[in-house]
Amino acid sequence: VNPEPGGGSQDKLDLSWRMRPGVIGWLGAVNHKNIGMRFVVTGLTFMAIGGILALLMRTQLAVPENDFLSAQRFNEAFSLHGTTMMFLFAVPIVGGVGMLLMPLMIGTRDLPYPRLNAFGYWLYLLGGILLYASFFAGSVPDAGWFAYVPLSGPEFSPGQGMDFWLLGVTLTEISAIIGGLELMVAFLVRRAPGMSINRVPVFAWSIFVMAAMIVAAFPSLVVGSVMLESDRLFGTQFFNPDAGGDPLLWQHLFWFFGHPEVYILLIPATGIVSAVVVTFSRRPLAGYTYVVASIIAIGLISFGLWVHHMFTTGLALLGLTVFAAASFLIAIPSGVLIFAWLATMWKGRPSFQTPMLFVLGFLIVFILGGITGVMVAAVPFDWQVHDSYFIVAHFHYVLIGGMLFPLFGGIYYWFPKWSGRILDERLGKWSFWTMLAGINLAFFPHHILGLEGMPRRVFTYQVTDGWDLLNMLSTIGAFVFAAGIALTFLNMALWRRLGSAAGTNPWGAGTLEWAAASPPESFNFRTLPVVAGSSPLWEPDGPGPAEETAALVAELSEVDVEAREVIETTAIDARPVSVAYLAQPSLWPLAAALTLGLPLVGILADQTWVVTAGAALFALSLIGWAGSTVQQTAPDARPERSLPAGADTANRWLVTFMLVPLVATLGAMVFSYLLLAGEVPDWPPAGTPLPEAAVGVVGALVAIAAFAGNLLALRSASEDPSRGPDATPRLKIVIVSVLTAFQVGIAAFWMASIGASPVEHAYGSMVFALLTFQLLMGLTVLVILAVAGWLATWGLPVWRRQSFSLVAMLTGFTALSWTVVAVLLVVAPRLL
Amino acid sequence: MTTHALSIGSALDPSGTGASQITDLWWVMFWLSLIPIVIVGAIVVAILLRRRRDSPGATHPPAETSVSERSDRLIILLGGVVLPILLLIPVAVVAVGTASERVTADDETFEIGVTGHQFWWDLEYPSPGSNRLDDGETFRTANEIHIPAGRPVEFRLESEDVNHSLWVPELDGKTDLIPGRTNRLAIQADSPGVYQGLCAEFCGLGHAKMRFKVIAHEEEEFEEWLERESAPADLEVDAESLAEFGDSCAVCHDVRGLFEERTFRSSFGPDLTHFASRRTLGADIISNTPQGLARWIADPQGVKPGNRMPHLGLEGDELNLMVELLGRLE
Repeated sequence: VNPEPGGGSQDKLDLSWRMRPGVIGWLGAVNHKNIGMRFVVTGLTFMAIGGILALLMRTQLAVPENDFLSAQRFNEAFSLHGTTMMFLFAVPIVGGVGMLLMPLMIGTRDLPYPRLNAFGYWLYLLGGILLYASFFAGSVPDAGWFAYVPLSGPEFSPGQGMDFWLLGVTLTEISAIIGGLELMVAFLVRRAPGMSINRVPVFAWSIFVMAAMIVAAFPSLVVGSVMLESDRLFGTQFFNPDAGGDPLLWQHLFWFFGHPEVYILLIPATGIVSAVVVTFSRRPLAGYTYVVASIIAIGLISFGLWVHHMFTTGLALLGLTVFAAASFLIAIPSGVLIFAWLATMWKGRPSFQTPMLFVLGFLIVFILGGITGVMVAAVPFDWQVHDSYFIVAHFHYVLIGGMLFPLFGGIYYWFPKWSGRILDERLGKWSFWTMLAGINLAFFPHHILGLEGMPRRVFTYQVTDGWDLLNMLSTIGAFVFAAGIALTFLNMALWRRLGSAAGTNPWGAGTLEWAAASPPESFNFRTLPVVAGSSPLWEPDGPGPAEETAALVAELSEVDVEAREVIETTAIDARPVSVAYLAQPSLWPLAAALTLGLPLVGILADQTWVVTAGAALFALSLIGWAGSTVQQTAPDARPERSLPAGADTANRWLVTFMLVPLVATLGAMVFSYLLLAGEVPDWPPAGTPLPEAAVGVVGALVAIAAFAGNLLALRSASEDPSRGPDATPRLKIVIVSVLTAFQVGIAAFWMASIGASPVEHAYGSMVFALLTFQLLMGLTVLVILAVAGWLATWGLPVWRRQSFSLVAMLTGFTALSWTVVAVLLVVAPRLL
Repeated sequence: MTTHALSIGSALDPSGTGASQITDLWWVMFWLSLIPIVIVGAIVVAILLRRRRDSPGATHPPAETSVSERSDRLIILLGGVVLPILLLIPVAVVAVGTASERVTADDETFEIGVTGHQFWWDLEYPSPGSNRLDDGETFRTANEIHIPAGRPVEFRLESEDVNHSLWVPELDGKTDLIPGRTNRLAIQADSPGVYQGLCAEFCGLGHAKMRFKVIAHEEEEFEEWLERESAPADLEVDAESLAEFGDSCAVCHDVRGLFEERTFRSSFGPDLTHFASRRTLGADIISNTPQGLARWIADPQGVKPGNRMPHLGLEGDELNLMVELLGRLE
């Protein structure tokens, strides 16, 4: 291990990695440590805001018939509390912790697409600001974090509050999907040489599974949100039961996102717990393979549980039983995790400093939440307690126990890495015990209240209900809990005064982040680590360079390196394959985020020109961004290395993973069509002509031909990847562009000629949604080809394999999607 | 504030067949849940007892750096796989049993239409002599669901506006009322009595004050109630007062037998035909006394924020007349 900086802090390696000076430098920062920390700090800020909203609600509910908050204010408070905690605190902060730690833990210098990462942060911040800007517009969202229609629809929420909610939340979701893609690619191809897939720390595994779940689950809510906003804005009928829509469709789309969401928060927490347990037990994790398999299993099963939020909606009992069984099933991998940690602790004889105390608190609280989770999965019992305070108790035990306690344990555990100081132990213990007492006092009474008949989301109750005492206890508990959290905030605020010097590895941990300096230098590791075991720092020889990679590592550790270099490795056995060059800091991601925000502001302000101007500026920002990135990573900007330059493996994985949200989006739309077609008796409504099969067939064939043309272009480009722009297979590009344009035209023609209106009946709304999606996919391909062509005229080397593989993926997906949509539109109305 | 005397009943103190079955299921799950709590608790205590007490500075690498012990796997499989399966099987069996023994309805079961509104319950009954809503004449009432005790009745659940959910904890689990759909809930009160119900699905500003009562009668008493409630209103009143009543209330409310010829007859608000026989008003929010009624008419938003009753601006004699007339709608 050589954590010492090699040539002082002003060497070229540091200069090339560090944040640029001044405000411009701060705004243009892209390093995972800066961006990750921004996610964490912003997330904690939103947690404080959400917590204050919770205290306002608990104050209102302390006594019956209270008038501290009006019904309206209370509804706004619980809507924003849930939305803030889920979308602005929990998801961004677990993502942020992953961004902070993943590169250090797997021994690389940054995430693979640093600018994309910065873009994701700005979108998140913008989404949060947009949501809270509703205060200034005088219409605060008040339909709950679940935003059930019709209450959240145009008729019953005519104010703009829900528009702020939908647009703000959608931005944070896009941000999470971007971060997810980034983390997945990093996990697979940026691990230190030697860190084969069976040596990856459980925390990194958990972040990978979380990221994959985000990428697969979030598009469902994006689709739902766009449909709802379209109902509100353009008068489409997706959710209107009087015109072929169905309010239950929203519940399906929401919970197909919302249930995995819970596990998206829980799974990184299992990673934190594993890291802390191993370090403090001074023993490798018991049953590593079982633990990793369980984390993956939980991730997969969680996609089959969404209906257990809908047990009282009148769906058929047989179907409910299947979802109940799946819900029961999740107890098994959860049990495996818990007993793996218990076995590790039992055999390892841990010491119980603050991070371990939080793990202990997690075990106690989370097990109680898990048990009530099994209870509410029992369908008849759920009929009683659904939407009662019993559920409020259940999920606060799960989320606070399963996510917040591990997060706080993680803060105490990793704080020394970021500050160089260990947080005060006494204040930490006080904080922990106060929080543990607080959560139980605040939420245990809710179990009883629910069984006694207290429903959720009521702004008050009556003296005669007999709920006073338990509510008063709960309110006291909420304030105690808040005090416990405040103690940790205080501890962090006073870190310079109270904290003790940490050094590089204060806990004697075994994972790579503890080999970097505290705080880590801009480049994380001067000597890139090479790994020989699952706890690299506990290996007898440490993580020093093995012979076959020694030369490469030495090259990349030189003090006068002026590029952002990282080693790219293979996904399974982490063999080095290339040296990847990361983009430098840039203001383009901020520009892109701001200009993407403009059209949304235009929608809210009902100013069409702002929407148009914003969209145009956004396109310009993307072109500028692409141009400057290509320029910086061009071959002549790269030093000679013993491995080839490039990020082909990462790009290939990124393009592959991008298919996941696309397929999930298409899937959510096809699901919506089929659900409505199956429910609605007049589908399509009487008098509507059936879609022409010929148009669908031609559209699908053209899309398939465009894909084939692209594969040919891809082949000629990869025959000699080093050929310059002159060797561009121009003819094939022109053919692909023409076919794609043709395909866009067919989608537009079909919309115009299909004989249904998007605003009269959900059938028309659905048809237009599916065809608009085809249109947008085609336009995206055209824009990429146009931008790449334009950049090529500047002599930039964009006609390389990766540009084609991106377009190939998109045209391939469009071909698939055209086929699915054509079959659906033509066949479904004739069969149903 | 004047409130009625009853509190929401506990789901664990059941008076209905469905709630009793679910209570049994709860106690099975409750006792079984103590097993993992005790086991994990004991292990945690044992770990705490044998924890390391050396200084936090002990950061030397551990002696063993790779473990692949059989005993690790044994603990994980026993605790993480075998234990949950052993506990889940009885829960699953009892839960499936509870679900399959649920109170059911057939073509002869007495059917009551319940339509959710922001923020009250519109009720539709088959006229005496028939059990089903589709069989012939029906009549409407609101917010107090009268049922016969000791036999199942079936609620036909629909919504006029947003999602609601009908829940009487003492009698059975809840079922949602969703616009565009018809849900059904068969329910049985085992003994006569008054049971409190409420809306369990967030439905807007007045959600917290959307309640109702279920009043379970002996058979004979129920038939009498049905007879009485299905009859048109019986109100002897001079034409001028009647016109004023019609102008103020009948724009939104039905009063069967009166205002038949008026074109603005509407069912926007609760049916008032036998209003005076109800125990409470405002969807079970305040007692149905002359004082309560006067307060309600004078300031509906103050009593129940968000409800759709307009501020009529009635005062003094006008207000008293309305209160008096409504009080005579026995």
